[in-house]
Amino acid sequence: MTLILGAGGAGFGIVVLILARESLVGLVFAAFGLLRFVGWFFRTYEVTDRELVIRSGVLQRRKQVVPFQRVQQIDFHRGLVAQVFGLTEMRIETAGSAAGRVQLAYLDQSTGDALRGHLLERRAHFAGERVAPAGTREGEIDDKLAGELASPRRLVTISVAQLARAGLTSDVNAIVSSVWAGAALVLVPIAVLDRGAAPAWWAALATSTLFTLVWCVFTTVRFCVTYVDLRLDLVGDDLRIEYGLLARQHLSLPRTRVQHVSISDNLLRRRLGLCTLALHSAARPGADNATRLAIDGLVRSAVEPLLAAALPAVIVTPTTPRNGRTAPAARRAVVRRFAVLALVGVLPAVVWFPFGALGAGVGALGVPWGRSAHRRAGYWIDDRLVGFESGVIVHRLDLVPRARVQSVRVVSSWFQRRVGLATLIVDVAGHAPQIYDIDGAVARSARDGWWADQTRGRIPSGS
Amino acid sequence: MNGDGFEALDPRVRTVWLVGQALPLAAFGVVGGVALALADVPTLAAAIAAVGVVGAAVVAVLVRARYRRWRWAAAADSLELRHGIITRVESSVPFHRIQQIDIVQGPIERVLGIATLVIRTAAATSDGQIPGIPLASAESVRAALLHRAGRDDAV
Repeated sequence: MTLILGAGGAGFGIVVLILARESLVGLVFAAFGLLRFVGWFFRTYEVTDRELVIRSGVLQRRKQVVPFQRVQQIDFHRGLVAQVFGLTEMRIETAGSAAGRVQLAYLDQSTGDALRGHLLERRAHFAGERVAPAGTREGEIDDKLAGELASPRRLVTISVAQLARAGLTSDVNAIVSSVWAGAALVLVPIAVLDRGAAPAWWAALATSTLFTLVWCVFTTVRFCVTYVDLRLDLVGDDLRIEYGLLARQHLSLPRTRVQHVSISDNLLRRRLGLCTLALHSAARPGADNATRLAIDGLVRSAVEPLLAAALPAVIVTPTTPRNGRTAPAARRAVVRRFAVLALVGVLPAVVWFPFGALGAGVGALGVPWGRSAHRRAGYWIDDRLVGFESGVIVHRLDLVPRARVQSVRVVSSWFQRRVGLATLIVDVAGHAPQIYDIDGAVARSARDGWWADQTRGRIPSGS
Repeated sequence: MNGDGFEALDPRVRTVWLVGQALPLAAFGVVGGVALALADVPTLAAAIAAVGVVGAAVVAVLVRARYRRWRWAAAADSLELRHGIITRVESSVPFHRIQQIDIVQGPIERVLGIATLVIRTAAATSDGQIPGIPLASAESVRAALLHRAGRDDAV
């Protein structure tokens, strides 16, 4: 890609030079092109016995070493231009906060596939995930691997209709529509009461409604274009997802490397029976979605069978009953929301006195909101799994196998301590699911006894 | 290093906190105030000076409470940390999850002869920093913790 850019830039620069005699602009283009070309020339990658080595940089040489063992996730990103030229960008995510992400910009598609296959195979070899029974020859394992690679198992496809429904009810849209509903609830009585300035209020209501509609339609279209033709396949031990029209994404995550699972939905999706299932890897959190395999717009009833098929060795179904939160937590949930809404509502009350005083009443919405949030919050802690769920407008359920927990924290603010509550945070590679306002004694006793039943030494992958 | 009760930090860490946090605030207040006063903006100069000095005083007073609150212990299976005044953090890092332990010294710590142990697990959010370990014993504490960490490598 950069080669093409470089040659193109240089050529364009020369053309401009000759035709327009605008020597400065032409020189800039030519210089840019030449610089990119030189950079491409100095960028190399090398596959050794134990690691992948990438060297780059012209003046300042940079050498990135990725041991095969540390490879967590290998993704392909194909932008519009890359798709036209049949190229792809390969991103390799490694675990831990010290390591980073490694990018190989613009490989040929077939080279990329071959390299990914090789990296996955080498990683599996080093992690001992494919331990050959005694007497098996190398060739036999390779044949088995090849056999599995040849027959991927399709787990999920999503139709365009379902995609449209999911896009319309995305989390952002749910929040935006909630805000609009709250504003409408306040504006309508004000417009009815305040006869003098009624046209202005109705105009405000109309503009906000129009804006909300246009926003929702725009995000739905963008969602559909981003996630069109979504497929989730199981290839051997690898979960692979691909989606996209303009920018086609190919993400893969070995199922033994799934750190935790989250299922989230919102007010609107709950009505339609849709949700988002995300399988998180240990990769360092970045700006895009490369740290997780997310299926946005899955039918809720399909989640359990999918998890059973995709992650049979990882325990993500709670066996113990759900624990709710205590009464002080209920009060706090209501008070928090009431305070936020009242604060927001006070502004119109002050500015547009006296009719704006209705705005202060919006705080009262905090009571049913808080009560609902309290009912929807809960946790599971058993010997194989810990699960947290919370949220009303956007509801999230995090399921973490105990074997994946790296460390545990109990954090309590001054307000929480006064009522005997605390927050339990579970650190997992790549994320830190937490639950607010658990009873402090329960949180502390859970933390104190957490490690007693964990096996020391090598924990079997996938358990 | 006993494994039963909780241990306190080296008292020298209070100087590190004072010099590292209170002093820059006070300096900002004084320098800013003087500069603005010379530039003939007396009210703003007074405000900046007040903010700097008051801020430094608050931090200085809290240093004592912070030192008293900081406790850590090497328990049977895990490393326990307790710290924080208004927001209290109680974390538990199991030995078999510790990937590496670094010994870090800032410039003030180097002068005073203490160090910070930075404990890394596979999670970026793990709270594993113990300040105020005397340099002389830092190596042995680190070795003892790593010994209990074993050679597990499960992510």
